[in-house]
Amino acid sequence: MAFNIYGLSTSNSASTSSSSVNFPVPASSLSILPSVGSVSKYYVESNKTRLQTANEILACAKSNETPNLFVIGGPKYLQLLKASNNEISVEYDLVSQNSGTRNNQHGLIADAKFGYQQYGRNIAVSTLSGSIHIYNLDRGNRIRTTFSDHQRAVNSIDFSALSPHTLLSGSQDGKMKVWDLRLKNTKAQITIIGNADAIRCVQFSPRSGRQFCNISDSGVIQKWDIRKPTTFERKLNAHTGPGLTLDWHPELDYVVSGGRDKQVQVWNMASGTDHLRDPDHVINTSGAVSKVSWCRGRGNGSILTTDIAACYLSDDPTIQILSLGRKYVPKNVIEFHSNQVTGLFWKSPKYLVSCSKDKSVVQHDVTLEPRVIDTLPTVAADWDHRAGSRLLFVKQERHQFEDTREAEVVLPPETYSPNPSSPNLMAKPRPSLPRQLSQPNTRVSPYALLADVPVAENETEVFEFLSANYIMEVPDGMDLLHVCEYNASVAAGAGRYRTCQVWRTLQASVAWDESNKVLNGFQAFHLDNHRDPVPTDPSRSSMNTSDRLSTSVDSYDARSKTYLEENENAIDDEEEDVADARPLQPIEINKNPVVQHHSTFSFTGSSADFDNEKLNMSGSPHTKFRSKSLAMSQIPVSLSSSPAKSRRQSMKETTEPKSIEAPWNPVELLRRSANYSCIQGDVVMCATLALLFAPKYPDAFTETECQDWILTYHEMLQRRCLFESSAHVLRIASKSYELFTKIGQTQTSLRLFCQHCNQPILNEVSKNMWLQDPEIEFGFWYCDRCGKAQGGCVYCNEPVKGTCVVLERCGHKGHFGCLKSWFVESMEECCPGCGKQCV
Amino acid sequence: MKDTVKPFLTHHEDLVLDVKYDYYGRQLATCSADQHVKVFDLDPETSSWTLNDSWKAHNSTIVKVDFANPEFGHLLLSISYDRTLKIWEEKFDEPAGSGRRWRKLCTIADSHGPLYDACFAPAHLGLVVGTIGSDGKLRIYSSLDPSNLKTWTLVHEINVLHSSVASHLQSDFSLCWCPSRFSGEKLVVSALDQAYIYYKDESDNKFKQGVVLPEHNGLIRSVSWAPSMGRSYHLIATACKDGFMRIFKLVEKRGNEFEIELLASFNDHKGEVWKVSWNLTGTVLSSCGDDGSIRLYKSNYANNFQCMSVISAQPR
Repeated sequence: MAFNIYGLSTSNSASTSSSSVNFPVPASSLSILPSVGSVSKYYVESNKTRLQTANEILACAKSNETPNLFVIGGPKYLQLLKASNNEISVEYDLVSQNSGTRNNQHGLIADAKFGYQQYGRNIAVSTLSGSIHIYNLDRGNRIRTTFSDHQRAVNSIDFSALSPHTLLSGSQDGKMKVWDLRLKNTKAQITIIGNADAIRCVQFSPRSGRQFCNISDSGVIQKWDIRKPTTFERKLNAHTGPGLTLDWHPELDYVVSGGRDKQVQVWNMASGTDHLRDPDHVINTSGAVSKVSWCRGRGNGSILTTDIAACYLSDDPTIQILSLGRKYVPKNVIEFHSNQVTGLFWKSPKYLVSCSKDKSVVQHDVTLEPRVIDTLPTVAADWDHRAGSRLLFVKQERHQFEDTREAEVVLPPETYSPNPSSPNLMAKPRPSLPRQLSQPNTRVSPYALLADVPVAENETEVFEFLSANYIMEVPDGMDLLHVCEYNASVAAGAGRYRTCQVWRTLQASVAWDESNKVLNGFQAFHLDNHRDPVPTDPSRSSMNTSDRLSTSVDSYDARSKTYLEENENAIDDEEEDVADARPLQPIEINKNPVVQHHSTFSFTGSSADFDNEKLNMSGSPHTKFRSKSLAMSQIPVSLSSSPAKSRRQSMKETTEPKSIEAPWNPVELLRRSANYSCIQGDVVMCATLALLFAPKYPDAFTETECQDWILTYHEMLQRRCLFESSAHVLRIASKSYELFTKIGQTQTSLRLFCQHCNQPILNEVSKNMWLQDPEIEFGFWYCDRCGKAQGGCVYCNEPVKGTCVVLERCGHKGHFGCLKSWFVESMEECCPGCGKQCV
Repeated sequence: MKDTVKPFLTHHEDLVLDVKYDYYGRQLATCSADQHVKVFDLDPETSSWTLNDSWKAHNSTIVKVDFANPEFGHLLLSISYDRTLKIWEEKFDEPAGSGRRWRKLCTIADSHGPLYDACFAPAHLGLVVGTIGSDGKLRIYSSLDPSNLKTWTLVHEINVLHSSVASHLQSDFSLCWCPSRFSGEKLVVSALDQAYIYYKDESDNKFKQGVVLPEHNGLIRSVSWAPSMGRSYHLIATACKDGFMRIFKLVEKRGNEFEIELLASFNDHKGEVWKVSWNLTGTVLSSCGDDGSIRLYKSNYANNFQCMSVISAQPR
């Protein structure tokens, strides 16, 4: 049903309203009772006004002479609307669907325009049926004139601002016609045949009553002078697909056009720029551009400061406000409509009105729209996971990319010299392309910067050193204690003195645990006496290992006791603590000369803490790794105070007797040290602890923890391309966890490299051939790249097709059957090719 | 450090919105508002980045890029405000810098609004991509056939946002998968000023909304789920327009319930916080703010997060 100003929905009243009332009709005098839905909704926060109508809206146009008056048209209806700042109301139904038979041939509206000056109250409406109807608002809803010369749909019409009686039309039939409203006859004054293509849009120049442009389905923009209807003045091959819309700049001699190629182009139309073959500006948008419109009245001194409103075909219901100063980031993106936007115009520099197939007209306050640029972050950053403590980031300024090059150039339209960058057009027949000239010279592209983060954990060199050298499972001929000691020296060699201490502590703890298992009941004694600084029981000297350990625990305890009593913040006390602990050493050493070496290790280490100089490096493993890692001695120990603190913390925790278990028992110590390493992100330590100790002390870690650590470790090794270590880790882990067995079996892939050209054998070409033609044999015994066959089976020297066995040690390969007979049946143990021990 | 890489020009013509390393740290992808994606290769000899390829990938601002785990091939995804998700594969027989080196495998245009975030799921979940756009729908795509990466199936579509976005306000969405292999399939999704945990209910294979991360007073710009590394709890960081960077500690209970604790919040940036991300071990958190600086946070011995350094570059 159509809207009518009486708000009565019967066809009777509607026809009355549209046929019998005299015009002009001030809306107020009719005491409007708006029909349901015709009340516009005002959105306070965004200062938008929306009017919902009953039908799709296909075109809209504003009155050039009466402010706030505009017309919308859809299938078989035409309405005059009035918009204030917060209300849009229906002024009058020019055509309504059920207003009698006379207007029923009206057809679908394609375009509508208001006239200028004395024709300011005339509305021209073009239809898909090929006719143009002229209404005069002063004479009611009767059609004043109908022009029906066009054969097919009239896509676009335009009045000339400077010769207001002239009406221009462009049609699907490829013709443009100029009509004179002063004449009585309804024949076109001039007919211009552009080319065979359908004309999508025509528009008069705002500065000339004779010049106009059209854009057609071939993407071509033509410039015409109506005095010379036979030839165009200029032809521009603008868009690569159909051109859909164009708009002259209100002050400068530029035309903006939009097409299905998703481009918005800006062309210099001034005379003397005829040689230009490329647009001054191109903006790539996200959709086929169905309408473009320069903002009138704001920033019109330069095209760079004049906003362009654009809307799109198809399913993108957004309106974008584009600015040539920033081609890639639209100024605003207005998402308000729910269906294709069919028309838009600038009511004022502040208000943009749009109509849509979602049956609504909306007046947007563009000044309140969120600016897209503010929603974009200015910093982009990512962690380099390979070097665990490196961050790459891009530094840029939000407004660094705005092009203000031409912003100052303000020239009056008459004397406007076309492009400031190509001033001597006549002298230079073909200056460099303006598209290149408009490329920014002043704008600096963003820099990417790398920042090394001072995190001690997972530094590349240390990580690689540790992962290569740590022992992760107890090898033959060594026990856990030896491994601990070895790993401690590895850690020390890498400059990880704290980790070194952890290993030593664990070593001591494991040793205690082992001896404890031997001496049942010994634990009780320890519990009673472990706080006693001076060992008194003579029986302890009988057991060397345990004695050493108990003493070491004593000394630890003494230290931590001091910590507990001391003020936590006094870092200076560290020295005193060490001093406190020291007197114990001679006692111990004197008592147990046999284990002196071990004791020295554990005690000097502990008192030295992080201080390089105090660490006893005399042990042979030290020097070995020391020399290996001379370069690493420069690695700064970051967080210099916090490890000491945290250590103190962990010491404190260690001494808290939480259970009957001795607090230095390996399970507890393992748990705490792994926990600490985990929080610090020392994944090497976590995984090594898990691999090494989990089989023996399954209570220390949960299974998930272990798996997670090992997985993370495995991933880090892989990321750093340390495949050898990662395979090693996987192999050890698969002994304890099924998960890793699966990974090892499913995630191992073998890449063969051609022995002739030393490139990976991909053989994609023959693979594709093979896919099409199953007759062709396909495999990896040859190389597509160099066309040579690879070496054959090491046993029979025939090409290896099908199942292939590769010897791990030497890389020779052979048929499964051949190698089976070699190794299994004839019980050989070395490679048939090179004699290397394989089994 | 011996292999320090000098700053290099990206040659993008507008803001670079995302950078990503590949798994091995040997390739770098950048995407920009200028509608181009660029991939750089690390030259190990000279420790410099050389352009692998640069191509116009989308018709609008490209907001995110992400590399897939190499076990699935050399795959790169890009998403844009033009509503499409595109997946690219490197073709090694095309010359570098030809603009054809990365071939488009597929274009997914399901979203009814600009896409804001997308990322590949951790490798143990398979070749899976999660996306979220301004239509407030979390979409999860999966490539079920490894021999045909051109076909992606929309496996889940979840309405995160129950009312449509207010058009006059800014909006932002982000998501991050839970990287832990031992804690089920779940992700944290932020829509406007709300952040939720979504978890996959094993009984009916559907994603369900779990707990809400509280206390946000503005748009959430970014969420990041820390790698678990054997910890008994999860850490999630969020960056919020209200100026705060927040770290949540989540303790997993039975039945995908979480106990949430706000571990720390910082407003050191004195402005919007744009992005948070954890390092591989989940111990150092970086946050990028409006002040153009990057701050790094690390927990100290007492499990309190502290700012450990501030990185900023002098504008040129």
